[in-house]
Amino acid sequence: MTRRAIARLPWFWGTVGVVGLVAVWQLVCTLFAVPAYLLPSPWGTLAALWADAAVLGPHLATTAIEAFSGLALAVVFGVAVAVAMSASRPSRDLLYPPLVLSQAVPLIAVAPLVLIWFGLGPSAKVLIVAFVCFFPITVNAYEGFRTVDPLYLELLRTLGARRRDVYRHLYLPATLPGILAGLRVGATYSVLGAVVGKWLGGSRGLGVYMTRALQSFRTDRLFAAILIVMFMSLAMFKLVDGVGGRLTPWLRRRQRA
Amino acid sequence: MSVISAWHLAKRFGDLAVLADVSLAVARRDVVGLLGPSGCGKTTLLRILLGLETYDSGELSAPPLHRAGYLPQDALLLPWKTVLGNAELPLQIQGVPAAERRRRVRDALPDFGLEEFASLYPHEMSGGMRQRAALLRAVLTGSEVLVLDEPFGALDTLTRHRLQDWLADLTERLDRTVLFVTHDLEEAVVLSHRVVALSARPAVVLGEESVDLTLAARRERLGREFLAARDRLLALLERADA
Repeated sequence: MTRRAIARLPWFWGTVGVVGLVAVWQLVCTLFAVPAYLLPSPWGTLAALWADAAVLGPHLATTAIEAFSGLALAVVFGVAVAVAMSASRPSRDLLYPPLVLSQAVPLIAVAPLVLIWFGLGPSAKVLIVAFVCFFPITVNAYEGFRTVDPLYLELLRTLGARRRDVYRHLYLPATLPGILAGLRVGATYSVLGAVVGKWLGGSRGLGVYMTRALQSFRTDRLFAAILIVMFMSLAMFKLVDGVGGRLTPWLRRRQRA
Repeated sequence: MSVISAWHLAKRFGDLAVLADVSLAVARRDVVGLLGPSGCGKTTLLRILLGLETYDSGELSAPPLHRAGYLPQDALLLPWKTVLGNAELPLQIQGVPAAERRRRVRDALPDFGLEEFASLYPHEMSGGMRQRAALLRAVLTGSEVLVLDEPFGALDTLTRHRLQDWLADLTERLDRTVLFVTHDLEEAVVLSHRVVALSARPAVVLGEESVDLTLAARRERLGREFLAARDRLLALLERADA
């Protein structure tokens, strides 16, 4: 491959950026001999990751499951609210303000309450994740419902379509790209939500691991956990992207064309 | 027996009078072209007949066309469905089982020249293919009446001629009632057995002409019979100015 062809690969510049950033980080740590409890080097982070892999595994699994369940709950809830809002003008006016206001609630302040209400078990964390993720999904889905071309609706009426036919053949597919866009945003939030949920209590999950690492000044372990969280967010994002592509084949082909 | 009959329909949108006085009767198996200048309210008339629009006065009788084979102006194929998916939609809504409706679509595809394109999405198709797919969907409603709104208005001349000939042939074989709208004299001659001419907005009926041509004569756009029929329709339209 020529040098130009390599530079044109889709992931080329992304890789250059990340590798460059890590190199600068390593350079700073080495040159200024920064103590590891203040800023661990990339190498030190990887070493901690490797050494603690067995401990990290179960924490990671807990967080992943919570993030995923929360996201799934957010989809169901978000789409349901969007459908309700699209049903009529009054229902929209009724639901929109509280929906927006809900996003102004400082999660850090409310999360302990949620833990008190729902206990330290997984349900509280799942709820927190769902709370964080449902807003972009709802708004995008509602936007999708709202912008459906009324001519399609009329056409379906001439075919004798009932309400559920209209949702199945028109509203849902028309809204799906919007739901997926919201889901992509939600997916990155979900991991964060699961981690933050754990800061506040519980005995398993990456948040717990992070709290412990911080309390024992093992910043390298904290960074290792952060690294995992980042990759998990990326994986969630890619998962949504992949599933979304399968669900919307008409869009995929358009991009290729 | 009339499958469509309307008496003295009038319709305004606010200050804009669209239909002044339109009466229309379409008998079973008739192929009627509504001919009129652009923007004269032809589409509004169709929409009233389809129950998609209200009217201010007049009367609409015969069973209203709540389920008609409707081909809207822009085809309106659902972008997330393939040709197959779009064509089977009316059957799906009617509750026909999947295997049966697939079979019926596949049986009909060759007649519409879509045999090889069943799995294409609308944005992957040409304008002519989209119109044919939308017409297939209209036909598969099984409805007695087909309502076509400027079926080939947005196409280039060559494609339009080809599809007009094809549709003239198809309507002979389908043996259904067809009501279509056009502003194109030639299209009216090629397709209709009877033409009802509408005036410019607000529309009134100027008169009607029957077009008794053989299928072959309908295709001879420069043939003597064709041109004579075309002139008669033109005279009908120009009556308004006299």
